[in-house]
Amino acid sequence: MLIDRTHKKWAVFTVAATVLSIALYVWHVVALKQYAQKDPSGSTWFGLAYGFLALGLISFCCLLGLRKKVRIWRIGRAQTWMRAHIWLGLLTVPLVLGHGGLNFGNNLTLAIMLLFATVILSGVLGLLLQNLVPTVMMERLPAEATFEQIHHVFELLRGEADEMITASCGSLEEGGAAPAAILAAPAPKRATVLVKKEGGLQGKAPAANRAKSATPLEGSEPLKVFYVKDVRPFLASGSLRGQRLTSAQNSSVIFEHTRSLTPPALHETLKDLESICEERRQLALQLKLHGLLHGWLFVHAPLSYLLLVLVLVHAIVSTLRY
Amino acid sequence: MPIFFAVQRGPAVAANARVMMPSAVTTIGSSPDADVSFPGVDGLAPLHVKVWLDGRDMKLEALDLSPVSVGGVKAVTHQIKLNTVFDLGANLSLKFEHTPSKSSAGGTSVNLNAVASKSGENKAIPALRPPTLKTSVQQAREIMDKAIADKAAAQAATLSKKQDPPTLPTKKTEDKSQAAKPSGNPEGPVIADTAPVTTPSEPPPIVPAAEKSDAASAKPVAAAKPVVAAKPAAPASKDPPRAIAEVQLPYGEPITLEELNKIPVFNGMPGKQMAKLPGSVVRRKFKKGEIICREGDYGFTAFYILQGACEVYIGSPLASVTSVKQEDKRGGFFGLLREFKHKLTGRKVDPTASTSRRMFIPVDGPEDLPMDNPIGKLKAGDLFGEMSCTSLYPRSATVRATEDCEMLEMLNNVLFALKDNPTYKVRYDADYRHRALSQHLRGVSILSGLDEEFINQLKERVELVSYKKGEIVVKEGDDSDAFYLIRFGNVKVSKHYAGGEVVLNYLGRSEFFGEVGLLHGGKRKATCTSLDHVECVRIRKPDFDFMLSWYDDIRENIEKIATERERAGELRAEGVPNVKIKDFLGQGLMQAQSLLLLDLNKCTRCDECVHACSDSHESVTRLVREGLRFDNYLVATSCRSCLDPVCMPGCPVGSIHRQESMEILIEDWCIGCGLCARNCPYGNISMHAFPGDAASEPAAGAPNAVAEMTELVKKAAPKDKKKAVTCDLCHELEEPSCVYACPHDAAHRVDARKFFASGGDVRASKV
Repeated sequence: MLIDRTHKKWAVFTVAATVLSIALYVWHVVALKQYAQKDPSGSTWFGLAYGFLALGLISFCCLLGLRKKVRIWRIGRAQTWMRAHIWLGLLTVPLVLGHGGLNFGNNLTLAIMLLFATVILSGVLGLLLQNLVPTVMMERLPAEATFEQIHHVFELLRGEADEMITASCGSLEEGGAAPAAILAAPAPKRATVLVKKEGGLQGKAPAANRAKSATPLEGSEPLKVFYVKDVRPFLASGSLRGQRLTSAQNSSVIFEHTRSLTPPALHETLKDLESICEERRQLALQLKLHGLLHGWLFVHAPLSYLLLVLVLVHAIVSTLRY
Repeated sequence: MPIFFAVQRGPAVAANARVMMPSAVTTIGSSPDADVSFPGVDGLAPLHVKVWLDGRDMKLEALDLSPVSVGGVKAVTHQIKLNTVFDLGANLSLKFEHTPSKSSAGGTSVNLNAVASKSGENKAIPALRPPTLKTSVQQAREIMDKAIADKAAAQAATLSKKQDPPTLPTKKTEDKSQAAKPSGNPEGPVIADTAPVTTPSEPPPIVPAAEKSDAASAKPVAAAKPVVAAKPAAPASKDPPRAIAEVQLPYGEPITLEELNKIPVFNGMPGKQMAKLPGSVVRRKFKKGEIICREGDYGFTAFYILQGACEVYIGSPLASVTSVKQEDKRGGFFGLLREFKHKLTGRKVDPTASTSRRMFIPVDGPEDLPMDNPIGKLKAGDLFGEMSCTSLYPRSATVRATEDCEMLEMLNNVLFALKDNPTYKVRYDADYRHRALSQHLRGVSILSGLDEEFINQLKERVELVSYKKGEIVVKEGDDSDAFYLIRFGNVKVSKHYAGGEVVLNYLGRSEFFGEVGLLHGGKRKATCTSLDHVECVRIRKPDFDFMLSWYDDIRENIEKIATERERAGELRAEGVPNVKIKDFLGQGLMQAQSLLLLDLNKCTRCDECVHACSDSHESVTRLVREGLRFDNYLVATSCRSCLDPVCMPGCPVGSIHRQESMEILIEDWCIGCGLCARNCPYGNISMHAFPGDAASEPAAGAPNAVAEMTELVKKAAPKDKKKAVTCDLCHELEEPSCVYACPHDAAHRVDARKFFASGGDVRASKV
């Protein structure tokens, strides 16, 4: 959720409510010290009020997960729920602090406060990531694919590259001409060329079809070796750690070097191979960024539900004791 | 010129029981002597009848003739001289008054409306009667029925007499194979309602022969006079016609021209034409239970059943995933629960009600299939597969032989020749009127309120017209003179705006057009062009007006639809820029009336939009979060509700259509042929597979044939059957679910032209 001008009303409300809650807390503390000579705590009426209010808001924030399960129910737009989740969630901070009187207690209450701090911080982190990462993905991943399809795309890229190289350089096994099956194979399932942003439109265009040769082209051995040694492992699924082509700069240098070793007839193939590698890099980056964008939820969500449970326990126990 | 009156309205009850004023039927002669027969008058004399015409007392002296017996009912025929010439199509108001004596006034009177129409012969035109009339015109009805029966008998007699086609005068008369060929599909529409009624003394009408390749403009059928061909035929050669190609259909045994001529409906086929393409018609035999053609398969031939019988059915289960009709319809607590659930999801209509206004599924055969029991019968003499043959559309239904059959399978050259054959044409049209026309009329939702009696009358009055590919059926701005019901083929409805022509809709079989002009202003509001071979049922304006005058609910429905269509057209006009449309359309995105854009700066790739779409459509998403990018927006793969929905034409069962608002709907009876998916240039229609044995169970009380067929379907249908799915803009809900469910304000539905015109402001261009 991008925090933009459309959040103004929510921000104003939250800031105002925070200021008000702090002001009331200060008044309460002053009055308590002046008239009752007591320190603020959760068992005062003020503390209880803040406590129940915070519980209500925490419960509401936890409902967001359930709200997402009934997406098409007309019980308020999802973005309204999300905004309420963010801003009312932030509002719980002064309320919780005011409830405890800036006293974290021990055992259960201490655990609750630590949990609460973690939930809030993870939420804020998630908010920051959701504001920054999408823009990074948009700018750096023109070849972005649907996340669940990424590994399938890896296979397609490798298949395409295999066919390309086999058609030009012969079988990827030692010696031998291109197998008949490869020559008879239809056009690559996915042949992409990155289209630079021109006039605001960017996308993917199919690579030009090249004639397949029955025998390896003269001077193709360096390309074949390069492909088998560097490119093919790079295109496999899995981590790119330690791979020479992981860095775009390195990759550019290596390809340039290979270009110098191969005849001009193969330069077009090299160019296509380079773009396939670029796409592979982008997809690897997409995996990382996607992890960032959603990974924090694995901390935030379960801890939120745990927090709710503990807060409920605390509320019941405290009320009974009170 | 001869003028005839088609009397359309009659009185409810005659004031004097002994006097029957003209009501429904008049036997018409030719002016200036107009014979008007007053049925049911029994022995009254003298009978003085005054005639008013358009409010003018014609001051005619009605001659009281002797009563004559017509159909066993005594009637009196009066000879009236009007001495007036009328414009064709002129609406006339007649008033007849019967008075006991010449000088008396204020007798029984009746007002009748009539239309001056042109016809070349004495023809009893059965007038439309108001449906509430009962026994007061019982005798008149008997006269009308007899007149219709006599006409049908005369037609049959004409057909049986017409064995050898007349030959045209040619320079060389030795070539007897050059038979007269009817104009069939001339430059203009062929009016082919009923064959002209001729008296036995008159020769049968001859229509000019015109080769298909000829540019000669053939005239419509002019009966009662032999018509010579406008262009003399090519001189006959002594040598037999040379085959230009030999066709080899994959199955069946070729049939020779001589053998073909022995079959009555093929008798008179143009031998020269047939000889050019030998092998283009073959004889095929099917055993009982054999499948002749399967729905969704591509075909290029038509079949004519010589003997035997078949069943035609749609093998796909009538649902995409589950049938809405199977939803629990119980009342009480569960009914309340269901209603609450619908309220929660914001459904505008109750999904248990039929989402389609149709009662029949249009298929490529003589009859459409009823929605609740989609099985039809074919018998000897039936022709099916025309659309596949003429326009190469996929087969619309599965045909299975229910007994051993013998058929002719033919290519489109033979099919066109057959349909041009007057022998076949008359029978085909009569068969259509008898079997399918009332079904078609009733299948049109707005006409479903017509009662059987009225439909039976209407059937005899409509015209059956046909158009070639590219022909304009009605033109924007022309006078509206008829209402059209599409019997066969596809029609494009378009309108001209400042920036160019915009397609409003594509219409297929059992859809209709022409009502807007008839209701609002009398001028055509759009142009309708045939996309392929089109056959229409044409209801003339007087009949249409009469129908609306008697059926208020139909009038209301038609006016509602006409208003919706006009409004939809106006909305489109507002959005069409006053610039060259083709410049925008060339970019593809400008076609979109509702583009789903995902703001990539806000989108967290959570796929909530996709999940919401799936939840709204029984776990089948119509949206893919992948596609072209424009600036920071992703154009998701989802129906764009294009200005020109090229996905629509050609659906063999008419399941894809556009509502009066912009959304494209694919109904439950889609047979999964994939034509629309291939036609969509943006890949926004996908084929969704579902288990083949998910066929809906027959409803309780359904005929045994349905239960038996369901079992057959389950056995015959493949394990995985596909149906086309596309975004329908969540037409049952208040707002598209994808937009509603996005938690990050990243999904927007925009009007493409407004979006680009505003420089990418989604808020300013929201749909």
